[in-house]
Amino acid sequence: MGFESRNNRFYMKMMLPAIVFLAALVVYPIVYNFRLSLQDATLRTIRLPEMPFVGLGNYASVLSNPLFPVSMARTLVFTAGSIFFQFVIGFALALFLFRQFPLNKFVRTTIIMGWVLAPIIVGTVWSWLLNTDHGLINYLLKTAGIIGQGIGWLTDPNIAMRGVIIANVWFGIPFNMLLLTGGLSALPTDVYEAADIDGTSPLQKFFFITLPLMKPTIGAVLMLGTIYTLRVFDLLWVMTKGGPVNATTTLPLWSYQLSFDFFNLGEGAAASNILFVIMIVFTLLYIKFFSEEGWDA
Amino acid sequence: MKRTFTVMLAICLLVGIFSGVSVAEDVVLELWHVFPEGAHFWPQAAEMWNEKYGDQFRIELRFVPQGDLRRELSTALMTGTEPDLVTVDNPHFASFAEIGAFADITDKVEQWGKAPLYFEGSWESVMYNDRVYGLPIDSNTLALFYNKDMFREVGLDPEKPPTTWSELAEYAERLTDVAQNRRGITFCADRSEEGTFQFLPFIQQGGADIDNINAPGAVEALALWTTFVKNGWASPEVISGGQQASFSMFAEGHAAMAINGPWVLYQLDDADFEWGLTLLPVKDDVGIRSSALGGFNLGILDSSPYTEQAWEFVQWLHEDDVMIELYWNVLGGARIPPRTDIANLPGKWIEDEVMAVFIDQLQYAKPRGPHPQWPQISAVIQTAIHESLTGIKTPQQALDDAAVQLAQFFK
Repeated sequence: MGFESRNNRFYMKMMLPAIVFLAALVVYPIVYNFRLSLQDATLRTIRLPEMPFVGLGNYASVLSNPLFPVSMARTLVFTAGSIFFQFVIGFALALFLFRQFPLNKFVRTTIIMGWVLAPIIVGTVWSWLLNTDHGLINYLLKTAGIIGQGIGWLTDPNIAMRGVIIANVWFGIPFNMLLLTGGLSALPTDVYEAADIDGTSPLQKFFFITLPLMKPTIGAVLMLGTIYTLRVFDLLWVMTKGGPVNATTTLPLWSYQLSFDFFNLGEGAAASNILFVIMIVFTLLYIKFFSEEGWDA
Repeated sequence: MKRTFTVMLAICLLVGIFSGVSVAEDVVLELWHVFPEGAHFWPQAAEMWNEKYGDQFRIELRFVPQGDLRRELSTALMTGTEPDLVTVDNPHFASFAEIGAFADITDKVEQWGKAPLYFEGSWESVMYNDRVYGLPIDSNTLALFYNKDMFREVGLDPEKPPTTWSELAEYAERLTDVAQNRRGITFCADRSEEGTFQFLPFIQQGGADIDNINAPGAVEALALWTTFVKNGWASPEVISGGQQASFSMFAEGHAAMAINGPWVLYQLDDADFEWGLTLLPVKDDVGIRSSALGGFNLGILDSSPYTEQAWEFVQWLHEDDVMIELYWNVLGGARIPPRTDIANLPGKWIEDEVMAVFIDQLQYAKPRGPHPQWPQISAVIQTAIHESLTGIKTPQQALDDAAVQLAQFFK
């Protein structure tokens, strides 16, 4: 037994708690959920000693349910809409707050405070703000003469998605801003000094220096943001419960409805596993992106 | 001889010890309920029982928030950790009865003989396939609140609330003043059980029901609701937010009439206007009275080793004097007892102008279902309401589509 393998065994022992922890709290639920998705798990079967296996039956009925394409489309629109605006506004704020000016820290802290709030609180406050009759947003728009009648931000099926995206964008900006500020402060200053000597315009500096250098950070922000947004549940639940009609029913909401409203735990598990696969794809993309670029590219 | 004596003594002692143990070992029945502190009489009921009969067995309570109850109960059934007794919202009672979670107490109830005393709708909600699986513990229903001051303002007689659908629509229009931020009526069309709860009475007043939801009467009911929203007589916000939020419009003077139940009365504690309460209107040409039946049922878990004791407790809970003590003295009459004879006792609920209306209305209250797939049925109805109220489909289209989806539940 060489020194190295003994050392390995020591490492293994040190890692054991972490492995047990991961196995119990991450791997087991995933495996259990997968198993559940293969079973006929409804109120009728939960008292049986073993719930009957139905193969991919749950996946088939989820995929053939007319609500599947609907909730899939809603998920994509919600995610794309949220990420786009979160990122653009977050990046703009990061660039702005990266400059030194009085009260900079105060502003930054204030913005980040929003991120600390629980989604349920954010959802409740935004559903007040967006109320058709008594909401502040409609009041301001009416007072400014932009609209005559209150907009049904959360009550008009054609607009409700915009309403929830607005709330989620507000909620996600601090996260984007925080990570992007971190990326900005790690950028080398000499490149900018050289650019100054060459007389580049601020816009050129942004597109030809900042953006390329920020690529790894941007990748991380977009990937993490996508994964976070795909699984948003509480904010939507508080604001619309997926309504009106099914205008804001994303996959997590639909999966919850299947599991805990209809008690079709098997189909609910199948729906959430489909979402899980989508998130895994994004995670793999994220990992691939960084193994190619490297953290300090 | 001496040895036999010793053995005998030892046996006696052993028997004594073991019988002593079985006496000392407390039988505890666990009861899950969904009422936060102060909302119901459970703590007092358990205390009363434990004080009087605690030597037989004790009742222990666990509060489970209503939103979590079905999930908690099904998980418990899965893992064998379910309680001995549980309160379940009445539309969801049948789904647990269907899977055999509740003990069939039909024979016990027959012997007991008090079934005919209960409100008809409440009693229907504890039945599944003609068997009895529990007792109603709480009954409530919907009626029409109206603001008498606003009636006067627009020249309506404050003592003559609307009695028909056409009057309801006419009054709603007259009472609406959008510029003043005032709507004629508020109700709840939320994407939740509460939306279905408020809509069902209307289709039943139209002579239809969930198994013929696209019948002309039901379509007219949905058309009536749609008119309210489309014409601005009700706020578009009625489709999001529960009954409490809907009623706050009325309590704050932003709506002149409101459909709601006794659970929102507290919102009117500080009302600075005069209000009245009346029965839900009827459809002009049909004249059928109907309202929704809300409330909770108490079921005994079939898997409990103490079903006999549980039945004893349930019987005690429904004794006349216990009921009066709990519903009238402990709760101050805020909840209506599920038995008509108790609810109609002189000098109690019926003397109260408001409660008397609710008790009157309760006679016409119909349970939702009972159907084991109630949540699925309810979701289809909610979607149809939303589709029509938001103008995506006409009332006819929305209910035709709903009927197609509902067909599978009524084979």
